[in-house]
Amino acid sequence: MTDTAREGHSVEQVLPRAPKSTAPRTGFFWPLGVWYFLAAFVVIAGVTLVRTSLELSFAYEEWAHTNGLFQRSALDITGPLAAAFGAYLSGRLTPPSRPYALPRFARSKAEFLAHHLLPAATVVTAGYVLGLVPIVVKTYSTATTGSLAPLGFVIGIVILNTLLVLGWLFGVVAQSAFAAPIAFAAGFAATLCGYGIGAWNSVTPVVGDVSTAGRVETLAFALFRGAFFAIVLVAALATAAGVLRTRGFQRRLPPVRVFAWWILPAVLLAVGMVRPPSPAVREVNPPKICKEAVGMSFCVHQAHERDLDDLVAEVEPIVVLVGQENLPFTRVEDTALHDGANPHLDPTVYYADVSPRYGATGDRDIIANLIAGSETCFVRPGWEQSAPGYNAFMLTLRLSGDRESGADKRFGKLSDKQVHQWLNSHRNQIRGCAITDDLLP
Amino acid sequence: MNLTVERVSAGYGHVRVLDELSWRIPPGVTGLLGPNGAGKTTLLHLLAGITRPWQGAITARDGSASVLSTGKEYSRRVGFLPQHFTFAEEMRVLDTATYAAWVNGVPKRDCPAAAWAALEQVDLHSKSRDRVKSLSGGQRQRLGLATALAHEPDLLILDEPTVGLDPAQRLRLREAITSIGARRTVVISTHLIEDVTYMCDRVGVLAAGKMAFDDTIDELAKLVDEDAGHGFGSAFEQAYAGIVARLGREA
Repeated sequence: MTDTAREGHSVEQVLPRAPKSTAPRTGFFWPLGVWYFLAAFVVIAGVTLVRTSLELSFAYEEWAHTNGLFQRSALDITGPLAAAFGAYLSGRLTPPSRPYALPRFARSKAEFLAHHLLPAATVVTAGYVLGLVPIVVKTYSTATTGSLAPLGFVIGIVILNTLLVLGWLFGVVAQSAFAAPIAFAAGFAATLCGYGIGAWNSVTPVVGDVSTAGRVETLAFALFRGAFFAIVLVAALATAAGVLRTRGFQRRLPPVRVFAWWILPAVLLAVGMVRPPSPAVREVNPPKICKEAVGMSFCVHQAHERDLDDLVAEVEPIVVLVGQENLPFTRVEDTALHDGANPHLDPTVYYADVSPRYGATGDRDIIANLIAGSETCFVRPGWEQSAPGYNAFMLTLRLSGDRESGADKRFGKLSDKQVHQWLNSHRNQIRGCAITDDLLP
Repeated sequence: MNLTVERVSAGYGHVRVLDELSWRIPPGVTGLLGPNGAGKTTLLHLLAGITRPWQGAITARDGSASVLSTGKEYSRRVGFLPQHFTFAEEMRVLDTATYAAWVNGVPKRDCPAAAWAALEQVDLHSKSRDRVKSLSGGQRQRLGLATALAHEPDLLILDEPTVGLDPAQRLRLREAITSIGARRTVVISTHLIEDVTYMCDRVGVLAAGKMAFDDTIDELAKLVDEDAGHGFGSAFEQAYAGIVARLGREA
């Protein structure tokens, strides 16, 4: 080696230049080349877009749900893909059988890791963010309250990159690009744990709970998840550097050192599984929008403002048909105003499940069931064989607007006024699931 | 650069493979011969700085400066090509050599020129734009040599680089190594006496963990037993066999 080169200075003066036409571009994505990274970028962006396409089909979107997507469906496939990409990269370039990846190569391990992981992290993050742009833009333009949660967004990116680095570490250890599908499968298994075992959500890549308006992710949960995955990322980086540094003939990474790197992630993992922080709480004083119609009030969470008129339009016909005296409630309210997990708080309130996905549909059928006493009948064994059960079911259909069902169409033949009168005269029998055939109109 | 191995012992687990071995390697091409299991690869790993000796020291001396094989600076000054190696097949030849230069510490902007120079030294620059997967066995071996050379090391360690090559490929590789050895210190392990006679200025014969012979090719030739020259091997092969057999008897 020349003295100049040995001192870390330019060797251009002493080495012949490669002709420009053949000179490799030692750019950001070198040495594997931009195509691998471009492919990863396109796949990550595409999958993120596909995994948020359901929400894109909604009439409108709410920030609570979109913010939840950053750690849910937007991440459930892209995360494992990032892990597979990381495993592929290290599996191609770092096996010790490569003559340029021998133990004790002169480049510092930190520089080596940065050179390989920064481009990979950049493309998976950029792909993820680009894939989220449509849903974020849609939410921004259609949501009536709330805003993007920067912390949740950042944690999503941290988790994505943690999986990338874990995959990269796995590729280093496995010494083969064949580690990539295994890394994907392992990442996906972790994702499934997130969906399947809700109690572990603080330590799984995705949060299984569906975020909706009226529920707010707790800061403790967000910080715990962020810290856990950031620490796992650092531990994976340290382990990868350690493996590269000590790998070689007659060398092994000291188990004590590995233990030291992973003790904190292990502790947090145990805490997250045994005593996890509460993921979400009911929103205090949620903003609501109300409207008076047919003599009663209809209220929805401000995030569901666009569905208020639809809710009124859904409920109004049955209120007009049966009259307020036959209704078991005096108000209609959005479950998002009362914590959707426990909506049955006040028997005088009908709690409507309003959401961007389903809007305000189906409530007339539910209310028809309530009025016809079907809920009382349907819990009885063999109700479909009994006359009261069958008659309650037919009444439900009529109240829902169906005049054609049933063999003799007893209720279908009645006018709205006749239905109203019949309900008034048989209120007790209806509530007690006692509409025998002789009571039919 | 001169390399000095002083009373080095090394092995695997509790098995001692090299026993207080001493050896001086001057600039030029030095061959390392020895029967299977003699400790050649162990010695090469020590010379390459991949493993540490149990005892003793390996020192690279260049003028008044000296570097121990266990030091970080040593790895910048040594290039090593193992007997078995693989490439990322999809990479281009020049990218492969360029990456090797970068991994071995060459500043990034200088890597293309360093790689090109290495490929020229092994006469592979005409294939620089080709993918590795398109190379023949001999070309791969020369690319391996280029990756070991790309950071312009003072010391080049080659573990049986001619194994598996056809005669024409072996000839080209010998030419490349001989040319490289004119400017730096090269240690080449081989089973092929022909490799030694064509490429090496000096030769060491390792047997039973010790350096059984350490001198010039001419001195090795003097050991050829004229009366024994009627066997199946060449004179040099018989001399080598005689040295190994003699050391075995002494052991």
